[in-house]
Amino acid sequence: MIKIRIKFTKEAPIRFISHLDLARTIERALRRAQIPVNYSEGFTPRMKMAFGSALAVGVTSSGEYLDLELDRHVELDGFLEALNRVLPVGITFTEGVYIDQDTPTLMSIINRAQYILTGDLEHNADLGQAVQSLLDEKILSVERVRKKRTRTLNIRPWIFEIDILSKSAKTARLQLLVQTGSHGNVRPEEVAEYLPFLENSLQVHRQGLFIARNSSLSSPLEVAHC
Amino acid sequence: MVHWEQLERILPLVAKPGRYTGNELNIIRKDWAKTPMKFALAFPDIYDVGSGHLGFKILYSLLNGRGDTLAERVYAPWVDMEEQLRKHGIPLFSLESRRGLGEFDLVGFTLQYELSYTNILNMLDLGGIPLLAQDRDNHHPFVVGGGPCVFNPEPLAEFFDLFVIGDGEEVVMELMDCYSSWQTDTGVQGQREQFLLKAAEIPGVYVPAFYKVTYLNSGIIEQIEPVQDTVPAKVTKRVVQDLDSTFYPKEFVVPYIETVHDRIMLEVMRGCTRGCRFCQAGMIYRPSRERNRSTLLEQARLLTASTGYEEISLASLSTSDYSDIRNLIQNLMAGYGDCGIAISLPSLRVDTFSVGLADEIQNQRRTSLTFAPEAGSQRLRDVINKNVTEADLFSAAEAAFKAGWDTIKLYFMIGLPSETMDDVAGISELVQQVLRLGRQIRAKDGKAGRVRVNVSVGSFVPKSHTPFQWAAQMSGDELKKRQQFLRNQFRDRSISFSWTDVEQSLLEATIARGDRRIGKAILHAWQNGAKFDPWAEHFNWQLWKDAFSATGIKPAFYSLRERDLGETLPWDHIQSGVSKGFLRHEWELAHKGITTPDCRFECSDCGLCPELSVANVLSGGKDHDKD
Repeated sequence: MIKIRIKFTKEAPIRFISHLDLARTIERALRRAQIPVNYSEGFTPRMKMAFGSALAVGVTSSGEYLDLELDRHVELDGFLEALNRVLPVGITFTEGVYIDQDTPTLMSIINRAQYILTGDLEHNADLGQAVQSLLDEKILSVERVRKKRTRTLNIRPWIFEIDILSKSAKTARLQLLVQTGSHGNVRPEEVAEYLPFLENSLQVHRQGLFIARNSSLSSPLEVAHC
Repeated sequence: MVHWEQLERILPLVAKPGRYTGNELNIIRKDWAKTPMKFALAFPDIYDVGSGHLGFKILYSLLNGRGDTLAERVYAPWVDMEEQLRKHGIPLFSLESRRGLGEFDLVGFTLQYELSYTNILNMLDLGGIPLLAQDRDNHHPFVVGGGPCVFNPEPLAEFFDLFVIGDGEEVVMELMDCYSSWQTDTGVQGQREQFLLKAAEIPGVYVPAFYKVTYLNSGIIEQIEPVQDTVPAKVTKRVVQDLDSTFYPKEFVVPYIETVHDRIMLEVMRGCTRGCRFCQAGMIYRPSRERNRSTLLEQARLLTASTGYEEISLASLSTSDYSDIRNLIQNLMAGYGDCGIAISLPSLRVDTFSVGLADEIQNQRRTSLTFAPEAGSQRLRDVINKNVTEADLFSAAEAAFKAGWDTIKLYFMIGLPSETMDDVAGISELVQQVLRLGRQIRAKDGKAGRVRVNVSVGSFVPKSHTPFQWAAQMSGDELKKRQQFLRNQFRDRSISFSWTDVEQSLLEATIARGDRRIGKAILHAWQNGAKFDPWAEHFNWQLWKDAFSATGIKPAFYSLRERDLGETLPWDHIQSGVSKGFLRHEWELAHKGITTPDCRFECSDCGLCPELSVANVLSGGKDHDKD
């Protein structure tokens, strides 16, 4: 059994499709490129494919990841090229590495997400002050509805960095580093709620997904190298 | 043009924004400025429902194959998106170039079902196109209709510039040639009527404005007559005789979001020879023409390579009738079974042969098999010429349960001509017997408890160009009584029962056999908010009742009245090729309960083949032995 870890992008033209739609789209591209992917057993065979973290509808990304199980060895550059030729506009496979069979899954290791938030500012807003007071808070409550149950969560411990990248009178760009994964997850919109952005003006871009270890960040490709 | 930046602002506010973003795999986007003719393929329902429509896939590739033409897709926006479009003054736009519907030269709607008509008006309105053909001028597109419902185009006569009757592959190309000459001929360009006059000379093209309808005091049509010398008194449908060599797309647009029929479709044949008397498709798509297996396998090769789809569906009105079906399935299984591609059969004849076919398709989850006995008694099945016996059903069900299926879906109709409560009780008995049979067989594996029978009961709606075109629709009260009776019968938890909305059927029946006067009511209903009428959550019967009374229309005149054999029917000037004499004869045989055999084995003299110089075409396979 051979496993490949791939980094890919989801760009503006297809940012409005859901995670499941994206998965189906990639499966079809793999079939078009005649990549020898392994299928699950059973009546409805599915490609053996596992994603790092689902991207919300509307969000673009330059750093998504997926692991793929192949039937036989392929040449990596040729593989990426063949796929990019048949992938629809808006998805590009940028890098790939072979990984060990027992490499931990993306889902189990990814715990940081970095976002760029771009949006229009409210009139006379003081963004710097708003960011500072957000960071000064000990508790930032958000409500999440799941299976018809509303839970209140404190997301403050999961917000690690907010940097203002650029700012004009009307618009601003922020960089955000937050917790993601099964041990806590922050949605960028939840942070933006505390900031003076105009309604419906926010665009979210995921810069990348990372693994935080000993206060340094590494990419899922780095930790996977074998 | 609608700018992406404009859209990006509103898309986060609507459900499933992927409906409106375009950019799917295999779309064709041509240079707008440099392409002289622009055709919008407009589907009057949402993207999720319309994007799998095979007819438009064919026309999309065919039209875009012309150097002088671009064809782009347009779907009805869901209500949330409509609200945003209207609020921001954005016109309904095409998915490829994001151009407003009004910027096209021709806007072609497919008429798949009568209840979609208010959506057509809504789309025209959202596209900035005047609803009435007579109000359009040089700045507006020509509005064109095609698809099964054009066989009675009259309720839409005032809204459409022209209709194309029958198979579209050839006639649409002739229409574009005609448009091209008109567009470039300085003597006539800009004069809409000149184009329409030329178009009306193309066989299969119907321009309603060139026909005058007069009525008797009784409300019945006196006559339908052309008002121009050059247009034909009767418009005959187009038939593509050689389906095997007829154009078929090498690529399908592959949607991102989940949609209906999101898969490869191989059209194994067009037309059906069974001659069920209620079935409009069975009459209007005659003759039956099969594609050769080798052609279909080549299409499968091209389409799997270009789409990456995980399913190939063998599409037709009755796929188990395709005479080379066994070999086709075996070849497809051998070629694609190992690449994670499944084969599916959408429509199964009620017999063991068909169950055998389904059984041959390995790797398939044994979810359910669907059969359509249509009626509950042999007497009534003979009336409707559904040549299926109880023994056929039981042996098919037995074979299915033995092969491991637990769920059987059965489709029936109520409200068929001559139907009594005995026939309806027959539905219940058949269902109970199939359930018992299933439990008996599955009990051998200790799985009797898993057996399910899903029963779906539609209300019969008489359609034009069928032997039942003269029949009265059953009243709403009677239909409801039957539904209630069946609900009481199907108390067993292993039986699930679903039925169709009676009021929707009444509306469908009124429009399906309506005349030009119905158009006023459609307009009125739309003006008062009717749209998405096929959708239960949007259908509002009160709006329609108001529309009928405001426009002086009595729906019962169209739906509940048995028509006189001698009267002029609203669609008498539209010819399907099947003679009215044959339909009348079949209507009489129905009254006597006498069946008519499948016309592949014995010509039933419907008149079509000699009239249109066509014939049934079999692909040369050997699976067509008479049951």
